Amino acid sequence: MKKLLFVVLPLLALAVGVGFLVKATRNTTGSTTKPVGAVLDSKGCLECHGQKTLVKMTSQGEVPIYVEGQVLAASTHRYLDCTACHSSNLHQGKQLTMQSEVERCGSCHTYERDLYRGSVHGQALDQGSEDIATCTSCHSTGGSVHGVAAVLDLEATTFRRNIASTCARCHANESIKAKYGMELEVYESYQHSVHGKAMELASNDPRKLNKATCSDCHGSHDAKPVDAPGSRVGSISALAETCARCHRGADENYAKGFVGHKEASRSYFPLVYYGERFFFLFTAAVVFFGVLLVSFEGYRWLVGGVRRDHDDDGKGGS
Amino acid sequence: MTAISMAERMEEMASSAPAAEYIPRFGIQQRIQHFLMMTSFLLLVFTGLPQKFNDASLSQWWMGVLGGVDNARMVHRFAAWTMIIDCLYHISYIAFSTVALRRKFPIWAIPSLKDAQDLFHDFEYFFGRRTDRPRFGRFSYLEKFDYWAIFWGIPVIAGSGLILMFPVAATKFLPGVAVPVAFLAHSDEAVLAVLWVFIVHFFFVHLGPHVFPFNPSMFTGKMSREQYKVLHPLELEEMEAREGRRLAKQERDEVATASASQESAPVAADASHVAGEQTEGQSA
Repeated sequence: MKKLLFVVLPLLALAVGVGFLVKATRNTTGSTTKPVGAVLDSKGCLECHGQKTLVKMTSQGEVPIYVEGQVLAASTHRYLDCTACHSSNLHQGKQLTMQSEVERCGSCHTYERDLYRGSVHGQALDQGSEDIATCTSCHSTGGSVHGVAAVLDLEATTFRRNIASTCARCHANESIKAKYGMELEVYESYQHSVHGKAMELASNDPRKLNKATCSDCHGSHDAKPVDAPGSRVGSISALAETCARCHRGADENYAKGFVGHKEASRSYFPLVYYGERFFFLFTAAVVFFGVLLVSFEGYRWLVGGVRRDHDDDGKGGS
Repeated sequence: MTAISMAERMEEMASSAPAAEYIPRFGIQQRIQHFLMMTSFLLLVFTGLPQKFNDASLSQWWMGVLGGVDNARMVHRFAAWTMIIDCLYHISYIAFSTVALRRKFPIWAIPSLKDAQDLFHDFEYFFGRRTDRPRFGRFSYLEKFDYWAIFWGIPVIAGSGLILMFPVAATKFLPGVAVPVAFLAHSDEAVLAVLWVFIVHFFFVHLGPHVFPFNPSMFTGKMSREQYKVLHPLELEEMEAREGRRLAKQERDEVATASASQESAPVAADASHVAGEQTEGQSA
């Protein structure tokens, strides 16, 4: 027993030490704190708009026109003047609408704007949808449209690890799903897929985040519905090509094994469906048998009989 | 090698008048096999379970300590190959010792009617219908179950694991659905193995009666005579009976040698040869 302690204790100490070391290095390299307050504001907008109490009187009542300086300071656009997105004529501009926001962002990010206009989101926006995602829906962090973050920022909603939960804000939102007839549990099923697991547990090193997430198969700025022309997952052949972008050599037979976001059922992937049930019952039965033996044995041991049986056995053996 | 040490042990037991305190139970090969199985299993569990339960904050913390899932998968694959090689090692060990070394095939590991009777007997004991426990031979029904479960578990878990390790290559000759089936088989079979080992196996080698806090025979290779008497009385009796026969034969030989008044060297060699043959089955 003592010998065992001499082995176990140093090992334990070593493990704890390594753990702290790893944690410490991660803390220094993974720091996301940025200097707050470094914001370009040559027109002095924040002098008034940086005050929480600032409101505008309209026919609908008081509308807050406060801009969070802290969020702005964490934004990748912190060295752009407010007028880069809002009107250059002071106090001529209005709050951006969904459409004007796409155009303002698109005045610099033209490539992304063009892709977006052709995407399922951009087209729904043109049809007047109020719930559809525009630029800041996905790119803003910190709960404010002004917190546009760069994709390599660990906190960014578009940092590779965070993409799925960003999509989930709408695609796993029950009321939005009901309103637009989106039936599949896309987020839930992704989180329990090999891709979702790997992404969730990967380190923050961007090179190690090469696990598939929503946008890798469905597109990001050019996101398309599965059945739309040009979809990367619309047919088995398209899916095979998409798989092969990471899984070198993947063919259509490989793609046919992709269960996707739909749950296996008697008619859809029956092997998976019955396999799940078989393994559940098998595991439950075997473990039940084992637990039964352990609990009976433990019960008889604790409640009595063993000492006497021990003696019985001793007599029998001699 | 183990047969020889066993024979030496027996001789030692025979020469010293009081019974030897420890009885050899597992040979070095078997101990190595168990050690490899145990270490690779633990590595697989500690790198595999967090991947199954990725939602748990404990899994995420542990993956952070390991430096991400990629490191965990590397360790997982290393341990997986260790376990596969260990199983092949075990099969070749059995084949080598029976075919090449002509040792007795280990029939005492094969499930028999007595195991079912012992199980029934134990349940009668549990429900208070009898006060004695079944008397086991070399292996109890639970030990046999532990052993044979691996013969079902390894093909399932290693087969599915290899499919998951090389999914594209696997689908060159398997239908695509093999990958999701392997995925669920791997993770569910793993949970079964973990539950069995950590609940049942651990109870009967650590916490249970007669072994608490730990039955070290799988690591030391030997077991005290007292413990043997309780855990494997039938085998002990067999061993003692064989030992008695051996002593009787030795005595007869000595008498014959004395009466013929010849040199004793060839007889002694013969006696140790017989002892080796008698005991090698136990250590195989």
